[in-house]
Amino acid sequence: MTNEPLTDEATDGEEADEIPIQRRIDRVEEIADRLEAGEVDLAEATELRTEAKRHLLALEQQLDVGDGAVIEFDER
Amino acid sequence: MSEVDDAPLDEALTVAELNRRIADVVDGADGLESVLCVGEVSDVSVYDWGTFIDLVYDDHELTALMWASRWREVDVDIEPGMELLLDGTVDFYAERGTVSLKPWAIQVVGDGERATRLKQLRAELDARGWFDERHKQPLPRFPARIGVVTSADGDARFDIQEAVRSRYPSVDILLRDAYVQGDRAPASIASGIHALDRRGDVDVIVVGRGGGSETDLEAFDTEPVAEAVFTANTPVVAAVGHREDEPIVCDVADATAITPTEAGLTVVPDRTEVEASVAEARDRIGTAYERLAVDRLAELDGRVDDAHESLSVRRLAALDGRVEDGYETLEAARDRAATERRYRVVIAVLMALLLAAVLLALLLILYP
Repeated sequence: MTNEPLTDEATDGEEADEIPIQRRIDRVEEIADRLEAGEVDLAEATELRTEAKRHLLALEQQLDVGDGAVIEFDER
Repeated sequence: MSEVDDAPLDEALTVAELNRRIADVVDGADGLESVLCVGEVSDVSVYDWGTFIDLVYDDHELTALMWASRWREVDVDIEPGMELLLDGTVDFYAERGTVSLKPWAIQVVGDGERATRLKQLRAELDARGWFDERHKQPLPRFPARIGVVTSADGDARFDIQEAVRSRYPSVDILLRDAYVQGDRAPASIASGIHALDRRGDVDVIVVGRGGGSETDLEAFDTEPVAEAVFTANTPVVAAVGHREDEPIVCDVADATAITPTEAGLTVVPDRTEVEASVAEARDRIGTAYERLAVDRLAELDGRVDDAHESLSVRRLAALDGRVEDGYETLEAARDRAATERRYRVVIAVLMALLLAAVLLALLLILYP
């Protein structure tokens, strides 16, 4: 488990919504584990909660992007 | 306008009439009764009333139908890959317009050429390590784009599409049309896998088709297809219908699915479940943060109480000390005042005595 926050800048210039869903979910669960363990002070807990809220909002947007496309390419 | 449109309708045969005519031809033909036929078993379907044995030889297929009473007399287990010698009569089933061989005797000759070739190829690929678990790539849990190699006109394409859409609608599906049976199928399928793999924007590839006979699925038992799957950097899921023996492509692929529909369900998560797990994480964080904040506030409250109590005790102790000191000071002052008063009395008495003594001395002097 890493204590490093998963920032939107940590993806080498990718757009914020390009952080993979799996990484965001892993990070949110990691934050939940840390808060539940209760071994952080209030200031750090507030920072973690703020970070988690950001990921949760992004996840909602990533999961709600409408229908994908069906693309056919190259005739056989 | 075709010639059919101009033909008189009353001269046309119904399907039933045409089939009966074919049946008459077959029944009366020389060389179709009591024929010996050699073929390799590709599939066996046993029913209460009879058993269908699908036979292949080169690229040709024929189905043998054996009634249940006669099938029970066969004392060997007929399995795909066996080469059989059948003695029977060719029959045309007019109601369905199908030709079959009705054998009354079956003899196992050995392994068929196709089965032997397959066994050799499987052994060779196994020796190369192409089936090893260590080569299997994990499937991404949240693919953004799925590549599909199958016939654009086949049911498999729509089954995969439907399954993916029902679970995770936002994913893109990139379809590479391919021949999935026939001579051109191995190269076509392999080329499709390579093409999708090279793109770099495909997270997982599904290759497959719906069910079919052994010969229909033959392309999936070939080295070009196995090689394309093995060398792909993108994880590959094989979905080649249900068959007694899995095609070679299933052994090489990173994951397999019995049907194209199952492949669609395998490659994407259920968005409803994902949303539920995200909601659960949100609740956990809210609850944990609130509990943590309440605990911290309670802890601070305790510290404030302790500090207040400690301060009060110290203040009271200080006041107590001051009161004690004041009392002692007062006592000392009172003692001093009392002592002074006593001294003054003594001095007064002494002065009086002295004065009396002086007066007495003067009297004695004046009046000796």
